Amino acid sequence: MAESKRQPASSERTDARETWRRIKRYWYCYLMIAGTFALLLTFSYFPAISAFYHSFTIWDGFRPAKWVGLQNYQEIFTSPVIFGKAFVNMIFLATWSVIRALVFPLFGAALIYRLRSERTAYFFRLLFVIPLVVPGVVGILVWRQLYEPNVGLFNAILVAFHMKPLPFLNGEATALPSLMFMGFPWIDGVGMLIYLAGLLAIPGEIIEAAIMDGASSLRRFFSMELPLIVPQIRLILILNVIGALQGFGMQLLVTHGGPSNATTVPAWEMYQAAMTASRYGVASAIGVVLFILIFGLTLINNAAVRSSVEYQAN
Amino acid sequence: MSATTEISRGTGAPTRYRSIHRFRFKRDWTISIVLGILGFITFVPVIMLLELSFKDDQQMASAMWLPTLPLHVHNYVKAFAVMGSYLINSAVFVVGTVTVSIVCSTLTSYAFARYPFPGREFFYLAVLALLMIPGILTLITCFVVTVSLKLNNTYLGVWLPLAAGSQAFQIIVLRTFFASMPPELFEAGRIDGASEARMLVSIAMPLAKPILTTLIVLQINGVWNEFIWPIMVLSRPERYPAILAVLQLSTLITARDVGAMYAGYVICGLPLFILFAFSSRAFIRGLTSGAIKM
Repeated sequence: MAESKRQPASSERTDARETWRRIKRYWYCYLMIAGTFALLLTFSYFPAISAFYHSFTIWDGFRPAKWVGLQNYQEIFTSPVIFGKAFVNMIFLATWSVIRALVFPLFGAALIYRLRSERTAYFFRLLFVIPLVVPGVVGILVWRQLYEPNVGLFNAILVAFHMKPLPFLNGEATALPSLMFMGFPWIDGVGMLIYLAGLLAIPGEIIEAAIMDGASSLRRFFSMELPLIVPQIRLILILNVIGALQGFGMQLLVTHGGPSNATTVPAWEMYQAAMTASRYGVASAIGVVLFILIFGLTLINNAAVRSSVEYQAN
Repeated sequence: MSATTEISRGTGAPTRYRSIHRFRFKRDWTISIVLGILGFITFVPVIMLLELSFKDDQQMASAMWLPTLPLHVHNYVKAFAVMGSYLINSAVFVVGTVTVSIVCSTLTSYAFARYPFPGREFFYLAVLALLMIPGILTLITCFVVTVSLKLNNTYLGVWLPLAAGSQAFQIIVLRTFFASMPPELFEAGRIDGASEARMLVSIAMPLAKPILTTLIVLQINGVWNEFIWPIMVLSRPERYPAILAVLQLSTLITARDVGAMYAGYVICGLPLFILFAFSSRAFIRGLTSGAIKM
């Protein structure tokens, strides 16, 4: 402060000279970051801007685009398939993905946290983490086989109990619930480890004090552990919302959005608009709508994180 | 059927624990049983997959979902003959992407952490801004860029976009790490006459080995499992990675040989399993120590 006051008149010029001196001194830094920014400009920043611009155009991806204003957006929000079906399915799937990511891995983590033996705890951590190495595609294919209407495991069980076999992924009414049931009992290894990290970070004295006061296990969970791992819960929450809004692997590999659009989601409609119909303008517009949704939800979540931190500080 | 019983058992556990609080030695027992059952159900698809991969057609027809003997190991021989070249494709995609990505992110994050060059804040903000750009927004236009650069059906067309996609996460993690290194280390290096490049290679990188390992393992896992991008940019099936080849195994292996198809699924996951066997401790410790949170 004092130094800058002494030479107010020439401060701007010395600032510029100082900047230039530092640029010359640290010239190699620009080489160091050049690789990253070449990648990002080509494959992240430019495509993002391009998507925004082309969402207002009719575009086949390679020939010059034609500006049409909000026509693409109008089409999205009046289309019975994209707006009527895909967005509704997405809300179902995203809500369910949040519920299952919040409840089941947390349940597993809370149980492991209550184990007294370190070795047993490590064993169960490993047990729930190992399924992570099964490639997602393989997992999906195995589940598809379990759901197979004629020879699948689930129908074999249903028939053995003299119940009516179900069409599962092939039935219009059962397809979406079948998608949701996949991965049962939904104890995701990564989520469980993140929750467990939060639980293990709780100071032992607090828990001991609660035990001394006679707080039951259930009471400790809801009154102490749950409020103290709110940051982890919010992290899992936002990661799952973001993932659920963007995911279309199941549609690409198994259902193709069918039967009769029962499992379609906006991301799949976007992929199809571009890759099969060559309607890159509409695809870009769907991408922008999803971006705005994700952006909004992230902002809401961040505001909530800040308030929770303040709450903890008090 | 089994679903409902397991859930009721699960939610009952904490209440049960309350009643046996006096008999402390039983405590781990109850929890272990509940966790064991949940763990077993989690594993059912994996068990089924392994079981099916050892069956021949006759066993498949007579008792598809029950274990049968003898185990037909030749399913794996057959599947490997088909999968071999695709595994190599996958390995090339993984090695290229990880190399490009880690080299770029290490250099960038080291520059961010150690040198006060003009524009540093701006560039770092530009990286942070990437967290706000979801992959779905850029997927289609990134594909157009890749095709316009004539990179479709090339290795670069897989490496570069996938490497770009992982820059933000890697740079943020690595920058935090490099910035936390005590400046005295580099001061000592300077006194000993080490050049800036030397200090990165001989001081910073060895200390960053654990965190680099974690990032590399995560990325190998990510690239091995990536199927949407390869399906878009590769039009020749012989260039497909293993993860896409499994989708067509039923046609690649003669359609009658279902067991070999499942063996192919297992083979596709095997490299990840081996990787995990070597890195599980570091992986679990890394996530449990709370290094990754908001």
